[in-house]
Amino acid sequence: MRRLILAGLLWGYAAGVLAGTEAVKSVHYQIGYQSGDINTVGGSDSKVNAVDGSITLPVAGLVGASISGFYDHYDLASNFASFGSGLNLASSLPYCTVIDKGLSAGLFVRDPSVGRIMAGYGGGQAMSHCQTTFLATGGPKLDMRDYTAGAEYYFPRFTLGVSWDETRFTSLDRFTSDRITGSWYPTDILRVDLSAYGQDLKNTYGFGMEYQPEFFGNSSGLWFSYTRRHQTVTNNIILVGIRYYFGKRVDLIERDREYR
Amino acid sequence: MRFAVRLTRIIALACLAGSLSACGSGNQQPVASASTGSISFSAQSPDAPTPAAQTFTASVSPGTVSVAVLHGGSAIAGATYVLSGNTVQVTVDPASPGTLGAGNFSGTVSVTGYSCGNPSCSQLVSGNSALVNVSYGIPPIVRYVSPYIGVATGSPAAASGTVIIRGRGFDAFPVQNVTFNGTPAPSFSVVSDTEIQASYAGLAAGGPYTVTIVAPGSPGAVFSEAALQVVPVPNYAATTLQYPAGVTGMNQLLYDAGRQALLLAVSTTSGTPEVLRYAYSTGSWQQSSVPVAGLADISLSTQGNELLALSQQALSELDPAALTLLSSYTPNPAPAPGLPANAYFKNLVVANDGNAVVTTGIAGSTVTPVYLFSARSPAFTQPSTAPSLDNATPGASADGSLVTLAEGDPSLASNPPAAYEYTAASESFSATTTLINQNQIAPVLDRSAVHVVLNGTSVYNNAFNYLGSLPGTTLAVALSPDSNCAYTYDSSGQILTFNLNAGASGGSFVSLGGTPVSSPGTAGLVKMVISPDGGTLFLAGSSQIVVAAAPLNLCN
Repeated sequence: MRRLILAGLLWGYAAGVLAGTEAVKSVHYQIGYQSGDINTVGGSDSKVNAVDGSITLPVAGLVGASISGFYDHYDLASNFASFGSGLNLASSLPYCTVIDKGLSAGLFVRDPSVGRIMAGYGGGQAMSHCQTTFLATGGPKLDMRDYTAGAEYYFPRFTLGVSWDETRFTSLDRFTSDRITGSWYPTDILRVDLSAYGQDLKNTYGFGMEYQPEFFGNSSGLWFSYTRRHQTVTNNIILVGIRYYFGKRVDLIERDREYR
Repeated sequence: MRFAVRLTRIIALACLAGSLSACGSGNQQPVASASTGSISFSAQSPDAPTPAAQTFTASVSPGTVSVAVLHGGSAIAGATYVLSGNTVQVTVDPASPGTLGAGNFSGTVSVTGYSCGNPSCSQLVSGNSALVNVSYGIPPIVRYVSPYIGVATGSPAAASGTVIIRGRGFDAFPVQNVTFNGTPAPSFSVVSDTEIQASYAGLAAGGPYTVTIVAPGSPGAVFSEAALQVVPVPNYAATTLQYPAGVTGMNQLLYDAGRQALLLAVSTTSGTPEVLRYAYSTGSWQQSSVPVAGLADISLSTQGNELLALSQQALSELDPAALTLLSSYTPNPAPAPGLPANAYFKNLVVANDGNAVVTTGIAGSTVTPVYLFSARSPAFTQPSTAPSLDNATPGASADGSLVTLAEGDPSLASNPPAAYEYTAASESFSATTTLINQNQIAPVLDRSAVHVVLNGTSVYNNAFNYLGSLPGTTLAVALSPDSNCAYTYDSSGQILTFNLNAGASGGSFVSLGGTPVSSPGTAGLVKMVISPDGGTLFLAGSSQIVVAAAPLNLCN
């Protein structure tokens, strides 16, 4: 794995220098806010509010790097039966609040005319603020390490991506998923995504859109995603968000392929 | 050609992803299931101890990242759990009956498993929850009936009257009736969750008549600690009862109608005060006594089961017949909050909510706290409305609904302080609009708190509207149970009768006549009480007890 990444980086560096192309044209910053609802079919809805941010920067030639962070606040449903009138919810906790936060970093090799290969590592922590126990730790806190690798191939108005993620809770307890994503750009400022997941997220499919309206001067993006997960239990996840991009004002397709 | 190259690249990327995906562990989305779907708790009454906790187990499927055990609903005080592998053992603690009161309560405990919602597991999603419903039934309780003495009159002799029933949970379920040993009340009214006013009729002398409520919606039988005792009209001959040798003064006089006994708090030459008891039996009064160090005042408890003996630094519960000590409570280790070191307990009376109103005193004209003492959960407490008063003296109505407190220094005529009242229905104190400096005569109220007499001379209604005055020569006052008559023991040595319904002429009530009686001794306090039937007056003074017939039929 390490050899593969190292080889890719060296190749990217050399190829970029020789061709005069860059993985990232200039340093790119973005921050975002998202809010959403996680529905469990037959149960109650969970709420999520999150902020995130990332920096993408050129390293050399076709090699780029990214650093990102997130802070998520979840009110996770406990699927309480509804209480009738006259009943006090004394000491009740119909929701379980969990704070999830983390940082990650990644390296990638990208030829904006071809695609991108990337690898990343992240660390995060989930902290429960209710009577929740993480099975991996036996307590209210869960430290996570996330390894990811992926690739994207750029068609003129279509991007095909695959990725693999492994999140380790302990040395033995881990969660692994694969994803394949197709992204279509009907215009330069609109992207439509379709995703399918495998392994632990099997039977999970996503639809998303990001729109970067020109009247904001190409500085902001509005996005929406819907994910349906149909396993033993069915979940519907709807998220909406806004992103603000610092620096270069470019179209969305150009931003995706040349800046972030 | 260009497309073929790109397709080759795509396939290569997909294969890369495919090879990496083999590292997956094959988790599933969490589903929780519990060993039971419901748990039920029950308690005898709001006064009962909290039931024991109950446990159940739940299991979650292997894909679970975290487990939450949450609870809602007033039935549940808390839920704790122990996790062992994928099994959760949940312990459900019910809420305290005292906290909940009476009613049918419910709650839910959920065991929910959560799994990762996105590839990096920065998103969690809920799985199915195992829900356990908790039900909890607590019947109402009837604690007190007040007055707890009824009098059988007429022929055939039977008792009728009205009482105040105190308890908890009277609003929790529809009350269909009130019964006295099964005899339905002719009428009743649910005043609040803690109070019912009811009438009774046709009860023969005897008892005790257990007073309870009929509430079909109750989750269990209604527990009652309240009993009405019906006594015959006593036929006491006018007499005097001598104190035993060594008695130097009298501080309090009570009539225990249920046991046909007089109870007194007296001081003695030995320096140790005593409780004196004169029990009537077969035409004579038998005297007994018990020394109580520092004794300041006495009162019968709300149901008459205990004699509360207030010492300067303690409150003791005595058997009202044998005068044996049942229990004793001192400010240490159960301190009366805020009681100054040099202050002392002064007087007490009992309200129908089970609380004794305890006043305190201190040398000089200084305010000190007023406390409530509950025999149900023995402690001196101060509700937020409890005032600090200047050597206050209380008086209570026989039904325990109202306590009046007079305060101040008898030697001061200017800037009199307000009289206070304690309302048992709301368990709260409040200042009245009456400004008065107390004298040696404690406040006197009739059976149902229709009239209040302060300082032995000033007559008010229960809204503290001034009605008129009694003679300034009054040494002791008693009000007839029907609230129509005021009887005063006058410095002339007579019992004077006043019709409080006739109105005051020129601000003074007019005496309907005087009845000379033996002097109880006027060197100190003089106390006068009346039997529940209104037929007998008992006077106690510095030298002896006087039993006299109350002048009847003057106030009709």
